[in-house]
Amino acid sequence: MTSHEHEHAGQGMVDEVESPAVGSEYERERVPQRALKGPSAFWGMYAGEHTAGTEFMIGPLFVKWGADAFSLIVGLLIGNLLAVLTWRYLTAPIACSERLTLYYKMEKIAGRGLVTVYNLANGLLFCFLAGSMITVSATAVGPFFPAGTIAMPTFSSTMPTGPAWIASCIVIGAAMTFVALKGYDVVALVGHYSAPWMFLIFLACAVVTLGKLGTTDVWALLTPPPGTEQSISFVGIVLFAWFCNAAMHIGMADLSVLRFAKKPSAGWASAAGMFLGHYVAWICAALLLIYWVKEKGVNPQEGKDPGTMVNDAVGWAGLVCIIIAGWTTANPTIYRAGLAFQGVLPGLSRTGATLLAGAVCIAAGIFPAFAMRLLDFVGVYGTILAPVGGLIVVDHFLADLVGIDRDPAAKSGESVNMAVLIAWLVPVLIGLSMTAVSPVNPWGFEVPPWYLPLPCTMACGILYILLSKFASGRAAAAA
Amino acid sequence: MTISEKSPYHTPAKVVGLAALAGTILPPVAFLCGVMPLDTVKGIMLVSTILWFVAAPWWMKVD
Repeated sequence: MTSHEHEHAGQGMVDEVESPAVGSEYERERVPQRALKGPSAFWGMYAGEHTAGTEFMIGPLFVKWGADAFSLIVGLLIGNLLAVLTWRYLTAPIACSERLTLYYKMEKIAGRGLVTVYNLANGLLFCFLAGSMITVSATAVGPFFPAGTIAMPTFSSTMPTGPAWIASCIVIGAAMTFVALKGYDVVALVGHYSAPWMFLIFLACAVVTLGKLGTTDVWALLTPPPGTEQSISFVGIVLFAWFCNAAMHIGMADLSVLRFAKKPSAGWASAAGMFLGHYVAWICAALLLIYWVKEKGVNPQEGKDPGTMVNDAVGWAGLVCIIIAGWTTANPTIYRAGLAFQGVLPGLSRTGATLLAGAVCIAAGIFPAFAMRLLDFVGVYGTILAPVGGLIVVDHFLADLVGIDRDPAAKSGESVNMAVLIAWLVPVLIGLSMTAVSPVNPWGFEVPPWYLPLPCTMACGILYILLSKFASGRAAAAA
Repeated sequence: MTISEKSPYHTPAKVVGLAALAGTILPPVAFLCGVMPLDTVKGIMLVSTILWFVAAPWWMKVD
């Protein structure tokens, strides 16, 4: 944590949740002209942030679900392109016009109380995400010990695989939490330095795998054997690639990043993260499992842990990559979760909040269920957080047009804008009830969670307009 | 990322860094072409990894 953030600790959650990764200045004011950055500042950041240890899980999970070559090569291309276009033509223009953090903009629309709710949701989801990264990193510990010392989880694992696995997760999670306590800057630097090397390690895994398989026909390798049940369609792949970062683009979390951009064209920088991390890296990771299925007889429904596969392909350099990729992404996640918890529990010290976040992350990491259901999790993550972006789109583009107040909570001083609360909760609860993760599904059909961020965001925006007009009509009638 | 031109170590670090990146991806290509055994590939990649993390801080500067 920088000294600047220490100065702000305790001032309130809006100040505190701002990530130092994206500049901790100007939390409650427009970013001034002199602080703006050119596009080069964003390309490296996006490339590093979206090449994480969890990419080693997502590629193989597509193989498990029987995704075909066309879906992977063309579907991921289209989905990632749509994500980049969303960053470029929705998030970046709003960011460059408003030049405010998501949290401050949300406070102006929704009220400070609702930002607390958003923070709690965000903090908990961050913990589960970081937990998945701890799980992936822990699989890189196994190959350093004699075979069988640490029982590795498979796709079907939901519970800890044994004491050695639990110890691995605790050690890795505790180390990440300790670094998060000590400061963020070193990890941000390591992440920055790692980005080009890390991408090449992903690529190296694929090249070695092709060498082992004795072919360069990637299309043929990505084609599942005849009779393979396809659990994810072409459209599903497109939507997953588009919305796995829904909270960042249509959810507007990246307002905090792109508010520093000189021009909205900086939104193109997201292409570095999408096409290196979410296209090339996913396909490279998928090839790793395909090799184990074809040559070692591994059941694709069970999979193989990333540590074993990467060690087999490129050795210790790959294991270092998994640990660093998990660490550099999980550490800021733990840090941000700690800040979010501190926003919800202002009496909690920074140390206490980070330790709490770290403990939740470790607990989540010990249980492989979160990492093994990562596709579902990122869909749920987007479904819960993305609708907030619908509010901001309405406020920015449509408020004057439809005759509702801009920044209503800032004008009224209310802590909870009920129109926002209802508009946010209703679509999210209805959407989640349609998914397999819901304990109750009254609909008689299931929808994959990554189909939901866009409809929930649009529904949130429409409901917000209707409820705001209804509230203003009632207020006018009462007056 | 930008390149810091001020450090006297910048040029040597840049050379080492670029060599390390090449040492990360070229051995796998050599393996694919059948001209390098996998154990050698793994060894060169590990050395390249170490060299990269030594060189990168002297070469790359965070905006």
